[in-house]
Amino acid sequence: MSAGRWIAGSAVAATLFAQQATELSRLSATADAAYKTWRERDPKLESQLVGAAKASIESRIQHLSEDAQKLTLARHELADGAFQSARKTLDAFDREFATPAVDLQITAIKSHDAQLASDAALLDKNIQVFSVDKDPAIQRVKADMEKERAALRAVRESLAEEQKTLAAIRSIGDRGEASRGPAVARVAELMSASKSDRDRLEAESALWHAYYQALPRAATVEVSKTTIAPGNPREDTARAPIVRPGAPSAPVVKPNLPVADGSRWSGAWMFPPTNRMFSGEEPELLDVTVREINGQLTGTLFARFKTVKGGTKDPLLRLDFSGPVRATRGQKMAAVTAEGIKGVVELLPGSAANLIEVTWQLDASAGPRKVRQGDVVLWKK
Amino acid sequence: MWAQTIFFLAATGLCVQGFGQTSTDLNPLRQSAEKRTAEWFTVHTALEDSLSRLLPCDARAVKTIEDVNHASDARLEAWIKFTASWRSQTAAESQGAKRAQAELNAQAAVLQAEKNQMESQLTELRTRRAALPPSAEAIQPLDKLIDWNAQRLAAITSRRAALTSALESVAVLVSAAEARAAAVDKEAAQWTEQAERWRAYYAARINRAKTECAITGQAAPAVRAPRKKQ
Repeated sequence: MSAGRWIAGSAVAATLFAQQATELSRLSATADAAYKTWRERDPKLESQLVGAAKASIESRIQHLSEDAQKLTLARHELADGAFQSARKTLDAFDREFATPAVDLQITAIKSHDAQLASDAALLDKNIQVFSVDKDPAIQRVKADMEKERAALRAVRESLAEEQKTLAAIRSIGDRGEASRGPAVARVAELMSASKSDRDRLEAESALWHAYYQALPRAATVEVSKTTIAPGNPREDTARAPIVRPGAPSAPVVKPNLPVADGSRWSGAWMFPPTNRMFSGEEPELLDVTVREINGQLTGTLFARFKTVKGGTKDPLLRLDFSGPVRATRGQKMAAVTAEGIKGVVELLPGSAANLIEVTWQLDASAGPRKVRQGDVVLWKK
Repeated sequence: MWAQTIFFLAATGLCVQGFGQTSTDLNPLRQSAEKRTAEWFTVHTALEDSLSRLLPCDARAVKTIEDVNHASDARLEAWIKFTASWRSQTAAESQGAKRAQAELNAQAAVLQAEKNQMESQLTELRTRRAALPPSAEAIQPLDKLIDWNAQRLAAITSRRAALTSALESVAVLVSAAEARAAAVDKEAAQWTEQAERWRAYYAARINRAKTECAITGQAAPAVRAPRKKQ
């Protein structure tokens, strides 16, 4: 390779060198910008959920959610860049440092030098013989021999220098090769750590998504808390007629509050230990769990009713119910007891987001022992 | 452990060509130089014996020396060609090592930025969590996000440790690669100089043969120079 080509090659390598480092810096800057965008977009959203209009909140959350997705994408690209960078670093050291052929070269030089030493000895001998003869012709030959000897000495000096240089190359190669193994192992560890980090980032997007999907409901919870103190539905009951024990026929008033989407019903609900509102048999305990998956509500009602001595009522009731989320105030669903008796369960919104009303009605085939119907107001656990 | 090993081997297998490294196979050039050297050395060792069998003014005398000189030139050119390629390769490898070191340094800067970002994000998330109603459903996914954030911070710390360790090792390699490139550069320069000295030597030998012819052509010397015998 000519010097020009070598210099050009080095320049190209240096340019690539700079480009790769710049690429990593660019990816880092992109991720940093994405993070700042998310951080500065709406830092007070969570503290402003109270009383905010639903449409406005949803729009703000949507923006943040999009920012978070861009952030995770930028981070993933950066992690990928870091992994590729570590791999390239490993590439740089994939060639052996040791150069075994140098040993052969040193051996050859020694052999050549031995021959030149022999040539030099013969010259020395001839020069010595010629030095006693003063014949001008002989002296001319002797003078040529001395020049030849000087040239030979210069060659031998050059060989000695080369031998030293090759020995140095071998020594450097041996030392470099000895340190190459640990270096490659450490860069491989770095590459592995970079890969693990890149894999870890796979989870981030889903976590952000889950958070921003759940966040709108926090606004609803907060609104309810301004209306009714947690664990004390007395304020609510003051506005709505209360079904008291001993007045089973009195209807439960259905507060006229807006109905949220299917998530309005999701969660675990309980019959409160005090300030109970119910119609029919009084439950000793009553739990309802509701889940919403892809627009489908499924749930279970489990109740144990208070018994009277000598009573014939079955104190236990378990109902499994399911049905699609409907755009109606209440959610009426088909239900079935543990014994296979069919019926209907209806979920109705309470006066606050942490309250719901649940009614159930079993078929006549349930017989007189089952608590065929009931109506309770439950608290969210 | 196995998964890590397999991953490492797979990744290493992908390292077909280093960035900035020349992929020139030096072996053919070296083998050619070694062959030319063997050819030269054969004729060189036989030179004085051949000359001793010729009369001083035998035209074959100078021709014999010139043939050895040509053989010498052939092997010198071969070695100069080989060392030039070797020099390019080691220089490129040295550049590659330095580039790798710079990559790692760039990674260190990026990693620090990532660490700062994740620390800031963790603070942000905790602040936002505190602002949420305690009963909000969003708390659970947010807590998961906070946990994930903390885990990633730990992972970044681990990556930084691996990076620091790699940088220390790579610094040794960069130093070795630079030293080797300098030594090979010197070796290449020495071949050029050595070639001149060999040519000077054979020129001196031809000159002596011509002198020997000249003086024997004028008059027979009283004492003949002893013919060199090996």
